[in-house]
Amino acid sequence: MLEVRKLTKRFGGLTAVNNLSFEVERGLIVGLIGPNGAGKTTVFNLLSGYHKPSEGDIIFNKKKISGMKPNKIASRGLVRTFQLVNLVKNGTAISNLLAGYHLQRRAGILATIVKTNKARSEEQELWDKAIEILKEMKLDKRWNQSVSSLPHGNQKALGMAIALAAKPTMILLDEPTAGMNATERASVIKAIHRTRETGVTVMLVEHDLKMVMGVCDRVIVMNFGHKISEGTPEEVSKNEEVIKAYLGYDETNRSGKTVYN
Amino acid sequence: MNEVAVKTIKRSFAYFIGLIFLLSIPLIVKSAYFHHLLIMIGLAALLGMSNRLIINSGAWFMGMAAFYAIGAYGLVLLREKVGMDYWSAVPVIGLITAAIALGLGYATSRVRGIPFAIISVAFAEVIRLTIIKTPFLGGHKAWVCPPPEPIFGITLSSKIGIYYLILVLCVIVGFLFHRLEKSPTGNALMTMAENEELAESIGINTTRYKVVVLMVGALVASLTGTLFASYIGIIGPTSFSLMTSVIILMTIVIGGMANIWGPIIGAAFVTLLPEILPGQAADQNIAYATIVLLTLFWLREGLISLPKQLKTYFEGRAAHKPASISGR
Repeated sequence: MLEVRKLTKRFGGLTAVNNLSFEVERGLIVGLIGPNGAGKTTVFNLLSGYHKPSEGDIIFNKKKISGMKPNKIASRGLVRTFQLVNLVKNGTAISNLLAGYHLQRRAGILATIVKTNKARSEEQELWDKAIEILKEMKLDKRWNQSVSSLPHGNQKALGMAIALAAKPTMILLDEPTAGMNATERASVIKAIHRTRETGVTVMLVEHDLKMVMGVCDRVIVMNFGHKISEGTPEEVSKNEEVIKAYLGYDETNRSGKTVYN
Repeated sequence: MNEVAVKTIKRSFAYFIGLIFLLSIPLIVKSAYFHHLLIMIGLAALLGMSNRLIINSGAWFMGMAAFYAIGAYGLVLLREKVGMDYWSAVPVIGLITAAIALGLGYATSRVRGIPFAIISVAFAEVIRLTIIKTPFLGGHKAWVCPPPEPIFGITLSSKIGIYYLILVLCVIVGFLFHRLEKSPTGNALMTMAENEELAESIGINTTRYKVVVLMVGALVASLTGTLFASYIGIIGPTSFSLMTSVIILMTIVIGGMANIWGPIIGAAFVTLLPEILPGQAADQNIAYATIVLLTLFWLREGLISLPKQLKTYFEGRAAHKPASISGR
């Protein structure tokens, strides 16, 4: 589904991503982990078109997407979320969510201005869908509230709902549970599983290793812009390189018995 | 009948009464000076509405005088040099304006915020200086522009004729812009203006939207320019200075950005205020500036927020009164 070949990104003298190659198969939940500054978010920015790669190719659904603009990549079905809450702050919950349906609308600008029957029914349909999603998020009573007045967890979840509204075939989640409490986190994990069940491939960047190990089918570990390991969560968690990257090097205990978590 | 339907009927009725009022007012008040003011308000409202549309796409465009000038100069030149009449010149001017706006839009598509505002000011200055420095365009000299030719048997040489033309245009433009704002496209524009990163992540082609909106705004402004030229009859580069752009921007800021009534009310305010102020021009300017500053100081969200402000003020007083009485 997604293939990354020898991807490199340099910012001046700093090589944030160095010769990174990996593949993501359809229908999987893939985690991208690594210590702070490993280059995970840069990879996401490259995949979604916010940065242009210095070298290498990104192939999505057999088409080269590296170098395309973010909106083009999104229209091909690869949609991302953001690490920090990224919404229209003055907008309401519903207006934010409805914006997510942009790619699904078929009515032209003029049709929506003169409100033809077709445009009207399309909008009604999307409105109902949006209310349904807000209901699932238990936000239906606050649909008309400005998003800045919602709790952080809701704002974050709304960000994911907007991305899903764009009907992606693959979604990139940048730290979907950052700053959330346990209940909110559990509901996001549920949402991720549900997303995969609808046939959407998921790739996520995460700091919370417990979550990554519990949710992901495959894990890619990065450090200093390199891929240091890849495999199932069990394989990765036993990898010495990974343990070193996360826990540091322990001279007295070289038997490799250190198991995190 | 539900509440929404009642509200809609009430609102339609208010619009209907308002329209009847605007249609009949020049026939009731038969002063040429009054008609002149109405026309100037209409022109200012058209310019304000188009500038607001562009700003709502996230681009702080501050050079509306440029497109206003392109419309006015396009008309006189097509009349003088080509011999076209008003109605055949307008589509040609539309094409020219659209082409210029397209070029400007794509050239500045990566610039946003304050740099974009500065570029738009520079663009307006380039247009003005080109007019002044090019003998073909008339330089400092003024052009004489005849009124529009009659259409469908309606003569437009009188003030009342022009007034009705502008009124019709204001209603159409206001209606369409309002509908656009409330449509999904309007939501996309708001998303783009407030959070471009998010807009792109959900597939909104921000460059294309920006360019299209700039083109639409430019078209309305240049159409307004042709009406201005044919109404005033004499145009020169002084009518399209930086100050003109600033006043257009002022109509929106004073009127309020929240909805389409902002530029309309702002246009009336900005046009009428200098007329009712007494004294010499210099004193007038000082008083004008003071009133504008005070208005912005008290009504940050513009004149359209006045009812809301008054309501909270009186409700606040009503809420405080019983407490203070019982306290004694």
